[in-house]
Parts: sequence; structure tokens; C-alpha cells
Amino acid sequence: MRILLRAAALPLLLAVAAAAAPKKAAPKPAAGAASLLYIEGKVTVTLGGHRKEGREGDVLGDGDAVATARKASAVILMPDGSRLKLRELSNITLDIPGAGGGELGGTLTLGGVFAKVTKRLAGAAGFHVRAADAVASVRGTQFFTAFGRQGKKGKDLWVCVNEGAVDVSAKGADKAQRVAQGEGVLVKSGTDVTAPQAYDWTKKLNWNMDPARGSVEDHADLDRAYSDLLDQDYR
Amino acid sequence: MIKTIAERRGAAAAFAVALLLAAAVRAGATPAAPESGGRRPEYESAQRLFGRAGPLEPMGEAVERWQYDGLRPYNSLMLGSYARVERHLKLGAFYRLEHGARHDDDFGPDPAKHWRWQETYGRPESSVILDASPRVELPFLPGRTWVASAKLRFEHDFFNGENVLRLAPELAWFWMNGLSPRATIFLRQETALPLNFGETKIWQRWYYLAGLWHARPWLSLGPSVALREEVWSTSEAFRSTLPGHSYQTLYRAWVAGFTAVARLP
Repeated sequence: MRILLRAAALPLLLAVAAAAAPKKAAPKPAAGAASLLYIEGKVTVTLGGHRKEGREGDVLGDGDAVATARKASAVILMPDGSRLKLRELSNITLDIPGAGGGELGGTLTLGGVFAKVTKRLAGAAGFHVRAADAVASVRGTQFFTAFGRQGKKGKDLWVCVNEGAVDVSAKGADKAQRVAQGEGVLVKSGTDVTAPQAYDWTKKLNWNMDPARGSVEDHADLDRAYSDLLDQDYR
Repeated sequence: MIKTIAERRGAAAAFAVALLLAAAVRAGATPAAPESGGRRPEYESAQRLFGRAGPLEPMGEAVERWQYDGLRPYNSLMLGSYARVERHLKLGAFYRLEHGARHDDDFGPDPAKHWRWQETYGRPESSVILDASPRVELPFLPGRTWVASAKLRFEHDFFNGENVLRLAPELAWFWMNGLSPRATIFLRQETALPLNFGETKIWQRWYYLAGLWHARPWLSLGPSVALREEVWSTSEAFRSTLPGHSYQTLYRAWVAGFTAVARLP
């Protein structure tokens, strides 16, 4: 339950607590490397600065990036067994520290990513997903991070929790907001964190990262989260 | 003494005749226009259920009201659908079944020749309703989440063939919780124009102040208060009893209401 605070200088910090252990041992790639576990549609990887079409089994190192085209998705297996699933039209750059230590994770620059993070022992390095001025540091949970609509000061950011809990704080906020399992928050323009609540649209997120259990592609319409004030009928 | 008794008998007879005449007048020999009665309290309850099927938005509505003198019951059931033909415009078509509606010609003598409003709760009436609802956001206003709308409704009552055009401009402010409305406050004015009945250009006016608390994404609840004005014009019975005479009576009431709105996923 320890809250791991990280990147304190950043305007926004998301910290995940209440770990949930995976139900079965996940396959692990070669030590110290990630790999493309599964792809659907057109996926591009940037390996050591060279861009190419992604293939299942591609080995990914620190600084390598994965990008999905429209109607594409990709599941990345991290060195510790954690998984990242990219939605369509997404881009993530991986953080895979060497023997010197540090946190595993990635930086989302476009679209949305699901993260299923293996439970960590106390004192072990955490796992993060950065997105613009935000970072989610976790020790074992399942959550979703995605960019939303463009605001006046930047893009909105969604954080939804499927397992565990997340503490979200924004620049200038006195204290963090805890986002419980099943809830989500919106970081409006990267600075203003809304109150956690259950959003109907998140029920349509596809959390599956195991192709053997069915489709991993996520078709949830994030735009549905934005209420259309011109469509609010009551009589 | 005998003379005195006779005189007394004559006076009694005259008194009896006077009583009979007065009773006759009260009984309807001279019809009286309905009384306005001042601003009376009325009560209303409305439940609505919305669905969603692509551009269609089916709606079912049940309304109960306790209105007029004696808080007479009224209820209606309306079924139909809106269709969002454009981001700023919805069109709708509905069928309504109602009991307890009051029309001008419902004022007349009862079997005892008393002039009064007839009970109409046992009388079903069917209407068809066509709706057009344009809307526009007003983000430049303080608070930003304002929406101005107008609801235009044409109603045809198959019971008596009366046609009504309702115009209802409205201003709504949404109190947001993130991107979802937490509550809504409405100001609305509704004018009902009688197209083929009555003796005035305006039949009804409603001035609404209402609120809705969006308790769940699928459930909204809220109170309302309205000032209702209604003009009663000369009834057919009155006109036939007193040719050449007419009346227009303004009835006013405060209507306290409660609304529940549910939405199917």
C-alpha cells in the first residue's frame, strides 16, 4: 500500500497504490529487454533510432518506441513480466534501465495505453507511465492512461483504474486525490484534476492483454466521456 | 286578527316566491362566468424515460397533476421519439393519452342546473404532438456551460380538434463535475397559442424555474416551481344560454413539481 511518489518536480503526479497480484505467472522476455508480444494491424517500432515495421518477437530496449496506426494495437511484454497495450494511433517510448537500477516504464506521447503491472516487493523499483506533464508510478496494478481532447492549455489526460488505486495530484494542489478501483479522473489541460468517479464509457475498455483470451483491440470511444450539453434532454 | 293572519300568509307566500326565484337564479337561470380564484397551489409529478438508438431518442413520459379548484386529478402518458437531425436541432413526434384535461366548453350547467366545470378525469383524450427543439451553447456567459434552447410544439387534440402551438424558450446552466453535468438549473417561459379555439391570442403561459440533480449517469431528479396562467373563454353552453354575452377569465396558479428522468444505457 505504500504510495510511491516520483518526479516531484513535475506539475502532476499520479501514484498508484493497493497492488493487485497477477493471477498467473506471466511470460518474461530475455533478461533486461522488452519484446513485442502481440500486434494487430500496422505497428511501427523505432529500435536504436531506426524505424521499421514491427513484428511479434521484436526485442525492445531503453529508448525504443512503438507506434500503432489506425485500427492497430500492440502488446509489449516488459522485462519484469508487466504488459503495456497500446491503443490505435498511440506512441510510447520505453524506459528500460540497465543494471544500474531505476524504474521500468514508458512515456506516452500520443493516444492511450493500458498497463498491467506485476506486483512488486517492498523496496523494489516501481513502474511508471509518463504522459506529457504527468506520471503514474505503480507497484502492481492495472490502469489506463490516454490523451483526451485538446484544451486551451494542453491536452486532457484520462487515468482510469481497473485494479488497485491511484493518488492523483496536480500542480498547486494541496493534496492528492485517490482514484479507487473502477474510477477514473480527468486531468484537464494537464493541470486540473477532476473528482474521481465511475465513468460509463470506461466499462467498454478492453483490459485484455492476452491474445489467447480473445481480442486485445480496444474500441472504446474516449470522446463519449465528454458530455454534449446540446444533447441533454429532460423533457 | 283575521286580517292580520291573511297579511302574514301573503307575506310568507311572497317570501317563498322570492326564495324560489333566488334558487332558480342560482340554479342556472342566469349563467355566471367561471371564477378566477386567484393564485392557487397546484402540484405536479413527471417521470420520463429516455432511450437511445442511433440518432433516435425514444421517450416515454408520465405526468400527474392536481389542478384547479379542488385539485382535480390530471394525468397523461406520452410516447414517441426525438431524432437529432443536426447537432443543434432535434425533431420529435409523440402520441399522448390524457385524462382530466380542461377545455373552454367544459364549463356549463350540471343536471341540477349549477354552472360549473365538468369533471373530465374519466374522459380520455388523444393528441399527436410534433416537436422541434433547436439549441445553442453560450460559452461566453459567466460560468461558460450555458445552453439556450427553444421548444416548439404543435399539438392536435383528436377529442375536440383543437390545435395548440407551444413556444418555450429556455436558458439552462449546467454545473459540471469534470466533463459530466452534476446539476442543471433551468429558466423557461412557455406560451401556448390557441390556433382554432378561444377568444384570446394566448391560452396559457408558464414561467418555470427548475433544477435537476444528476444523481447517477442514468438518473436525474429535481424540483420545479411554475407560475401558470390560463385564459378561459366563453363556453358553448354559456353562449347558447346568453347569446351575445361572453367572458374571458384569467386563472392563475403556482405549480410545485417534482421530476424524475431516467436514461437507458
